[in-house]
Amino acid sequence: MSADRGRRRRPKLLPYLLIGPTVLAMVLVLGYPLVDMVVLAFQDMTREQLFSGAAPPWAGLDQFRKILGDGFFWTVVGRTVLFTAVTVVLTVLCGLFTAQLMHRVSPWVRAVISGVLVTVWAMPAMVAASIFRWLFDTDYGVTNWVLSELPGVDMIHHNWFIDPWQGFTIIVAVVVWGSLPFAAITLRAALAQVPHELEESAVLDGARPFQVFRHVTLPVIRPVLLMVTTLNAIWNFGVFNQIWLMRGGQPEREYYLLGVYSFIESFAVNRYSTGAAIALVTVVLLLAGSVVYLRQMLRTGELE
Amino acid sequence: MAIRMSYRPLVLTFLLSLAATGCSSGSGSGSEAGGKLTVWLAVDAQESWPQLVQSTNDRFTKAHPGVQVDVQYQQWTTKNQKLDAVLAGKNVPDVVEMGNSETTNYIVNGAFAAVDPARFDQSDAWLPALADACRADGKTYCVPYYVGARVAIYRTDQFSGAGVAGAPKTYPELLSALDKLKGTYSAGDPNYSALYMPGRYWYAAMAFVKDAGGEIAVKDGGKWKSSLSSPQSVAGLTEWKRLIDTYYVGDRAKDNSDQPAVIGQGRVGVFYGNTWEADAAADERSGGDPKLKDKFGTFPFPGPSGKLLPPFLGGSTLAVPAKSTRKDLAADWIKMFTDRESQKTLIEVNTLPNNTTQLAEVAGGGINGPAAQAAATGGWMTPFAPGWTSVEKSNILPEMLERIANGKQSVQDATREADQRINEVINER
Repeated sequence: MSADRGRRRRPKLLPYLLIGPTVLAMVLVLGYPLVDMVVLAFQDMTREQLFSGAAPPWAGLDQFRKILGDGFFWTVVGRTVLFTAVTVVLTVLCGLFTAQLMHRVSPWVRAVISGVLVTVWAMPAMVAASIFRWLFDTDYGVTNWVLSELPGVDMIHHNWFIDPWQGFTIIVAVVVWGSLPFAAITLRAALAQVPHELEESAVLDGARPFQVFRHVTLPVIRPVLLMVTTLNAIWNFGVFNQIWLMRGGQPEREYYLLGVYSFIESFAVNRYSTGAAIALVTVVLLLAGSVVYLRQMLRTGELE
Repeated sequence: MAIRMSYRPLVLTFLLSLAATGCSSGSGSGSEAGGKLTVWLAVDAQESWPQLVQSTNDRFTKAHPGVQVDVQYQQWTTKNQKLDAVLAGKNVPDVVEMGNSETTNYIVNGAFAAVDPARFDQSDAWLPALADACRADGKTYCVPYYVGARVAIYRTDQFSGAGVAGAPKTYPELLSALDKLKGTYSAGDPNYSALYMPGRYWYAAMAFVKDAGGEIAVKDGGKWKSSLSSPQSVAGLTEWKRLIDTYYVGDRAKDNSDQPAVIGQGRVGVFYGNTWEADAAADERSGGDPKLKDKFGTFPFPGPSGKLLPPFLGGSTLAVPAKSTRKDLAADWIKMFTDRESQKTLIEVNTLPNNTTQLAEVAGGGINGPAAQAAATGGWMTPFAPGWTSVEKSNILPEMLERIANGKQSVQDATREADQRINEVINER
């Protein structure tokens, strides 16, 4: 009897033991700062308290009232949402296209593409942003020079960042460029799961390529597609490095996204609590977005 | 089942990506061993007077055997963010270099320990531009280190090539010299600027504001108020914009941080900067061109008002954080680093000293003479307001100037907007 119970209990305990260290690490590395940030958002912390270590006074919902009533904050929210939508759509479409390409080409071409993708992936955002910044430099950039070689085009001394639409086009390019490898490689793995017989029989039944994709391929890769889309949305919503670096550490107000805005309020203007409140609102917005993903995940789980 | 099996690479890639993001956010902060003095200096010391740091450390370790000095060099753009982060903890540097526009906020918030001025060499002759930035409530919280006064630096060979006789003394003479340079060198080179004046170079632009009788901000009944949209300030900025339009062809969204490297390309006739930037422009280590050695001269920049363009007296001070556990040793290191002998070394590398006595010795002649002269006759400092660091760090001035330089906004609109933004933060601690 007791031996029986022991045997039954062990498999229950083991998974928790295995995941324990991970959970502990997450609580220490992510949980503590997160709790601290939430608390900070409801206080009014200034540098006096920062330097002395004294407890900051409580401010209740003041910080939130301040930012939610500020038109500029909503401009930044709208800009961030638009930026995320554009980068995610572009990343997924380009990723899907690259994955399809890799699926169809000969093995050595595929190896070359994979190699290139992994190289891009291995490049830190910092390096990538610096390289793009040099490419598009006003006075010495190669892009302006190459474009000016075309007949009838004069891009000498053209500054790409004066018009934020042009500037964001380049920033979007850097971000998509950086997140493409993950999307492409993941989707390529998913495409490999599509049973060949299914595609063949669909073609035999007279389905056109797009119809094959729509009715045969898509249902199989759907969960992965969803995962790639959601993860990209989460990453790109909080994008910071690329903008910070492309604007030389001094982004203009036209280039603020939520991450940059929160950082500037916290560490440039020294309104630590306002910065924390902005970050908190960002997290809430992201969670709202993730609900869609979680629901879909649960639903696919039920189906299986 | 087959489907489930091959999700494995997927999981792997996912984990790998998590690991990759995890790595990039790591930050290092070593623990301090006993008997170590940590000194934060700005990169200028590393680039332009490393021998002074070395000799000070040698003297210091001789006087305090067993104490190791760890000098860490900081970039101006990121130094204060790092400083805030460490000041919030316990593990702070023992000496930290602070620009004279940065000190006020830290002093009012109790970040620095008071020091006894009598302990330091020539403290009765400290330059007001530096000493005032260190004083609050009758106490002294930092020690003057060096000062810089910007002057006009010109290419002597291009001046003679364009037929300009000597350094201009008045504003009309300066404009005619620039016209001649432009006429001679711009035709063959679309990248040639007679005057280098990038749009975000706010120390230059604000000098024109001061020259026209304007102010960045004024103190009115205990409160600071931005006054960039005053008629005088607007007049100064309008003249500054005219200079850019007429004589500058480069990127207007830049600041002066890579000035020596750009000047080193040899396509600039006159620029506004610190004297040592002329040396840097001829030095390969800072991106300059060694062929330009001895081809630079300096003159005090004449202002449109008829007087000298009031230079920004940008300088550095050295402070001891209140949380330092080795305050006495720190003060001792600062004492050696700023005494009369050390200041002599600074003068040798064309930097201006921290006191009026030695400044008078420099003003006599040499390439740094005009700068010393300008520093001695007057100059301006950023407002000693509690929130001034916030104004600087949120880039309100460079952004305003960039919009003016690019023609995105009129001087009036841009300054009015900047006034608003500055007023929001300048009185905040």
